[in-house]
Amino acid sequence: MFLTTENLTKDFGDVQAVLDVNLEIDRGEFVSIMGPSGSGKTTLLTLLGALDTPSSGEVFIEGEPLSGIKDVDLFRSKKVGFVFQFHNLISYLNALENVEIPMHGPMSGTERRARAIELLELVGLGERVYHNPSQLSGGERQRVAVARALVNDPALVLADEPTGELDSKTSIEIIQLMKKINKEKGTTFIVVTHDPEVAKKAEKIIFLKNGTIARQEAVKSESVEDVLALRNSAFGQQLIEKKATDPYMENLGVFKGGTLTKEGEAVLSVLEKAEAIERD
Amino acid sequence: MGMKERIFGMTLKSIVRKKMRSGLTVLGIAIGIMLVTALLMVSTGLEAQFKRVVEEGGGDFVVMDKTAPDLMLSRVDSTAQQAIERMGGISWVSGMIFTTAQIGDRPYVMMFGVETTERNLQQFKIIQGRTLNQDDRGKIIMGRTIAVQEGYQVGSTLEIKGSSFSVVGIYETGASFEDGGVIMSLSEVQTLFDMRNLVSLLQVKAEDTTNTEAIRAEVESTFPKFIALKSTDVASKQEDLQLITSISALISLIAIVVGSIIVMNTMIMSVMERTREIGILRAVGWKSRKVLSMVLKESLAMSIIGGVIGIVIAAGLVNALAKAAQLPVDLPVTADLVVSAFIIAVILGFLGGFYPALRASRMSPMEALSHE
Repeated sequence: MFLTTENLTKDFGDVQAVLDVNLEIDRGEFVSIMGPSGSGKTTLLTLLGALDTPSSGEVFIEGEPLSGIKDVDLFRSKKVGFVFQFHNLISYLNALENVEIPMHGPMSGTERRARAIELLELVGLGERVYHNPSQLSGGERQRVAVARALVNDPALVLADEPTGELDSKTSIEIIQLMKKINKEKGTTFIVVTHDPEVAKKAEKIIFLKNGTIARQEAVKSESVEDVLALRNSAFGQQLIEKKATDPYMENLGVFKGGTLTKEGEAVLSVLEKAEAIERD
Repeated sequence: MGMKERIFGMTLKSIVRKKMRSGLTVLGIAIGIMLVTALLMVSTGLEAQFKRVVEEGGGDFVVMDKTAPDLMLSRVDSTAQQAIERMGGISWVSGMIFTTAQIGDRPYVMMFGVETTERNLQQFKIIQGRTLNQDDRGKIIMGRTIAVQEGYQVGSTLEIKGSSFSVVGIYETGASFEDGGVIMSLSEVQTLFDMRNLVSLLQVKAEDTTNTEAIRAEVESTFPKFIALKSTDVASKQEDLQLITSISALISLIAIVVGSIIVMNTMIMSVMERTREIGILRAVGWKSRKVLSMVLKESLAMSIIGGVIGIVIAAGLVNALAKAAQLPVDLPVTADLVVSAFIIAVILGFLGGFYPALRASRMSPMEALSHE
């Protein structure tokens, strides 16, 4: 298991922000965390990324307890990449310089630059490396932030409401970008979001409530979801009831003379299979 | 190293970003450093000038009035001169008068009254005409600067305190208080300024320089009214110079305190505004030490820029003022002086930046990030 937590708890005075959380996340998984505000999503994320220390319990990354790490800053810069909701970039540095900030170790200026440009190209900003954040759109800024998070090849990327400030189309683009990186590089992603459309792009959704895990669910295939939606449509209902109330059903070729055609039978069997998957 | 360049680049960009605020901070520092530099110029310039006066007479030490705050106000009488001459181990004793007189339109021209011996006059290199002789009466030699500026030459006659004098030679030493002055025989100065049997100071030369210290002590114990100074400690015994030195020390101190407060104010504001930025830097793995160094570098950069501007302005301004006021003084910008002013600028940058830097570096990344 790549990342586990054991009775992870964080309280701020009387407030239990995170309470007895036990997580298991595999390497290369893409997980989203959802929950109402104040449910402890961000706190959980900061504990996983060693930005904050738990009141009790432990986080293990690759089997190693975070509490045993001496140089937390170094650990963070090597292993974890962060993407935040807003004010995410340093306003007076251009895209390239923002991406270079977390780099460490012996690297020449040219090597740094090359590495930063490579990542900006990966996120589709190869043409805008010298732009300042103010000259970039919200989506482009988040792309820079994603590039910055990846600069030290982290095993884990933690994103806190990365699409919180973006419109729904751009949100999906950013999340698709993260999924692409997740597939190509095997980087583990944990994304806090309140947007169900964004959350559904993950493989697993963890629902938090009052600091504890309310439930976890695997995200169903989008194709199956789409077929189920078709089943619930007027079209699907007529097929299931085997009774065409809409004359255009004949024109679609699924009914002829009030009975199902061969094509109609085939579509119905697809709908029934999706229902069976849904029941499992 | 790449990392250092990057912090340095960030430092400059961060300063340039807040042009107005950084500009005002730099200006405040520049004014402070300018004051300090100007005062240092005056005190070191006068000190060097005074040392030159004492050293160039060629004696081992000088005897002057203990209570006189200034060389020009010192009075030593000729009975003391004779008494010192009679002490054992003395090679020679020579009196000198320093005073000022009006010449033409100039109210304050340096007047040197010296015994007209070759030994006393050799430092004044004649570039035109001749030097003074033992039996010259009503004759002077004149420094090149005043001669050029006032249009005198060999053969010119001029009036000093109602008496007529003719210029027999023009000299040049390279020191502007000398080149802007006039030399006449000691006895004529004494007559002219009503200083019969009085001189400003006595130059004393020992027969054997290893005895200098003993003779010096003997002079001081025999004449409790007088002080016997070696050229090396002349400056520390002069009340005028001491006063200027302590004023410049005090103003330097005030400049450091005020400058530090200005820098601290600017940096605290800057750190507070950038709380979230610091959070991001910490989150992506910057060590607190690196955040500390970033903030400190910013304040140092501002104070160094301000310091350099202040030094440059002071160097130009002080000499322009001295020239405009026709003061016969050399106030050179020495390397020592530039280094001192620069060190003061660095100190105030460091003092002002340290607390904000410490505060920035101690922010928990979590708190910094939740700041909006």
